Amino acid sequence: MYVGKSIDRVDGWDKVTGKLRFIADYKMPDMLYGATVRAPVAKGRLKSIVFDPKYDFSKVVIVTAKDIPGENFVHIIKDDMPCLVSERINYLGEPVALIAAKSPTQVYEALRHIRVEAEEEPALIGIEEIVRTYKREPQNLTYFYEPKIIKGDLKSGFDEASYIVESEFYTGFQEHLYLEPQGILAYKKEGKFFVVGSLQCPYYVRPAVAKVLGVKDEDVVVVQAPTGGAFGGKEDYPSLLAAHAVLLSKKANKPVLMVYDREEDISFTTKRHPSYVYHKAGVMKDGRLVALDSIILFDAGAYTTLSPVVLARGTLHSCSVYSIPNVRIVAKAVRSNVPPPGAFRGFGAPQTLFAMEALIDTIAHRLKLNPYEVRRKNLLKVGSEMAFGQVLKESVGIDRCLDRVVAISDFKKKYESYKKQGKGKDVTTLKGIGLATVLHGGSFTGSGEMILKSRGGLRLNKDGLVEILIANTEMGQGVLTVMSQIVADRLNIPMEMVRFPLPDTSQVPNSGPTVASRTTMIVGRILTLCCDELISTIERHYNEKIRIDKGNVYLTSSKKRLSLKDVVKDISPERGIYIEKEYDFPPDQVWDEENFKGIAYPVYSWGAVVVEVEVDKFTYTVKPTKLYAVYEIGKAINPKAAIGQLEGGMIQSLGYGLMEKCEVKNGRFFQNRLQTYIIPTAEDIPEMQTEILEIPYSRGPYGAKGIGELPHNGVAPALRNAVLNALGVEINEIPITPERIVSTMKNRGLL
Amino acid sequence: MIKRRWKINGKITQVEFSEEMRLIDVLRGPLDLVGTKEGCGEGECGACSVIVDGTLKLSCLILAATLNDGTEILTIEGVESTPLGKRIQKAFITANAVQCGFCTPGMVMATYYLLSKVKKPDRETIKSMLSGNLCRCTGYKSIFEAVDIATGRR
Repeated sequence: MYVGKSIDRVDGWDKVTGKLRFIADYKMPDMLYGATVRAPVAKGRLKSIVFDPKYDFSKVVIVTAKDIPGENFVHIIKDDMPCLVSERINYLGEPVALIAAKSPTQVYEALRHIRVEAEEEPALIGIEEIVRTYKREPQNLTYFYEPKIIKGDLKSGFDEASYIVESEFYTGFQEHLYLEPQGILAYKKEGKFFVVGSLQCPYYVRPAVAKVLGVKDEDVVVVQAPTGGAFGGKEDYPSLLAAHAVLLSKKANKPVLMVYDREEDISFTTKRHPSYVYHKAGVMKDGRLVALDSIILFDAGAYTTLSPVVLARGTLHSCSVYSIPNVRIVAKAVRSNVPPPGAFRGFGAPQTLFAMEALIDTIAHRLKLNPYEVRRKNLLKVGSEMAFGQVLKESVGIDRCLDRVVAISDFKKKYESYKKQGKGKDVTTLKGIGLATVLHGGSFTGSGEMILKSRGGLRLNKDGLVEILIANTEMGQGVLTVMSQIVADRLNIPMEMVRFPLPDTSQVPNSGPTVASRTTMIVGRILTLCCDELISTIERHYNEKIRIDKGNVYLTSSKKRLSLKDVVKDISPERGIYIEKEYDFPPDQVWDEENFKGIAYPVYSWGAVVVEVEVDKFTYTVKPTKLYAVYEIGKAINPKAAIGQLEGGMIQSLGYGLMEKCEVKNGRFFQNRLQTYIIPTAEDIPEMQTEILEIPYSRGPYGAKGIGELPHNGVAPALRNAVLNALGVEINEIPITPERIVSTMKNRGLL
Repeated sequence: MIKRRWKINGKITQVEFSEEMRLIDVLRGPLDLVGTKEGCGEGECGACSVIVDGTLKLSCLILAATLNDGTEILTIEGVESTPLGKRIQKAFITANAVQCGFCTPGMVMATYYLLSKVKKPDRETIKSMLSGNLCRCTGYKSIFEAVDIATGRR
């Protein structure tokens, strides 16, 4: 009825008319505006916070570490990141103090009269420095996490190989650049601390704030405000910002709004982890991979935050869609002195998939094979064993994605013809075509979902409407619409009878965070379980089978027709009928964290991408002209919303591969404004053709698998491979800017 | 304080503001027209786009005091009541050209301006006229389709 249909998004009209209020649009009586005083060095000791004696601070609320009533850390995975610096500074811009005043003008004025003094110490900054140190003296680095994968016998694999192909790959920081900057409003009401904000995970923020305040979790209420894009950037960071806003609000005894401006947001909030990957592959003459020896380093920044789980996912995706018999992967999250990178769509996978997908084309290029053939020879299929021991049981669509995308793009022919194109003086533009094949594991890694024990709820209210009660957040991806479709479909009621309010931790159970491509697949399943339970609750009450149609309940034996309102009146007239269910974790999903082995994800989504480019032979500007993509996602609950996710994710990946440069110098991001940090505009995008394939997943709602992150995995390597096809030059670092192409060619004596 | 009489969304409106305020501050502050968004504050993202005396402008780059009495301003709040505006807004929903919704008011304003100047723009014109408005969610293709739908091309 609704599932599988391109239903218009339920929050569409409020968005196109500008009526929807984002956090910066909230106003409360007596509300103050907060700002952050930040550390001036990347590493060192805080000496003092100097308040200009000539400035009148009497109207300014000031909070330092001494004002923290609870524990001075922001709970994420480990409790090592301070809420405010008390002594040690570990990155430039680390929050040292907080201030609030009546207007933004006043608070920024006051900020200019506060100086932070610190003793500076030598800092570790930048992936290049990390790699240099790792190669010389790895014992001098600090590692937050060191997973390792061993499969088969590496030595015999390399002995068997006809060729050895080695390469090193680098990826840089990537900024989420959600259009709405981070923002939180904090206030106190009826003895409870309220946090309203632009955030992905209400149940991450709640315990973090409670620990800082030294209060019970229940004393903190977290409410999501409409969120103007997140992409992982509002997964972990809002816990810190919320703690700050609450501390100010508590001290001022007034509501406090903290909204970052763009420069502050880019400079100090999380980003995608920069990475280094070394691959040494043993390859047979026909392109079959028989051995892979890899080192993966992620720049994990100043504190643990989410880096262990980001690196885990990155490591588990590092063999891409290939079955390789002999593997050794050593991976490390390295501590450094930059603001902690965090979650970003793909969560470690875009980095390692870039390296592997680039490696495949390097192999094809060096061995003079077609990249399609090399991929086809190594593809995972049902029954394949992945490097970490998981045997794929179902819903493996990579072969179909690859064949289809190669067919619609005419890849094989174009690849060979562009390779032979004339590169003479009279040629101004070189054409190239590049391919990448990717996967993405749906939901939390390993035992994550088992530990999480997500619970979702439904309530059939007095008014006969069904309310969805989950903690999952709408941030643009369409969760309000998709979940409403699932519930309406399962109960066979009109979508107008389904309500889905923005989550509020005092009202909804903890259905887990809105991350990891898990919401539709995991929480969607929980909601189908709730729907089924609601139906059986009604059946138990009337002691007969029911059929629901257009919002009416038909008692099949007594042939009576009731409205949903009547049903509530009969069963629970006061409180409505409330159903809550827990995710039924698959019992056979066993993960051995100690040995990093087992079933890492219950199922994978798959994709194949082809990018065509034109490279200007004088400026070395790369212009993507066409983008073909085929994704296998189990089931598209809402095809147009799914296409929207895929297209949007692919253009983020295009930016990642082509233009989103973010360098760090002396601990400071060089591109920290929209004038310097460049994301794709309407003029930068190629023609796009995106197709969806569906091989249903037996435990997904209606067969659905995860989709949100998958599209960010493929375009960057496909672009790199297209440039290799056009120029015959292996560029192993993204973004591929004209400067990078020229310097690579100069280094290899080609220019 | 500075006093001005502007025609905002068709209504003559008296407004008072301090001299350092930008147009976006006046719209979002004293006028409470918060549909106009601030995404960067330096004229790069286009989320603050409004139409001033018939021209598409970035309200974060205009010092409010430079706008004289009688200036006509159209914001997202005024667009819904125009036939063209409503057509565009419906088309954005049909084409799924809206995801998070933060760039949307600015994008709708830019589209409104485009279609009030060019009846049936081709793809290149659409791309160029909307290139001052950043969207991080959609990848733009659905926005181009929304423009086509609004012009009756699709």
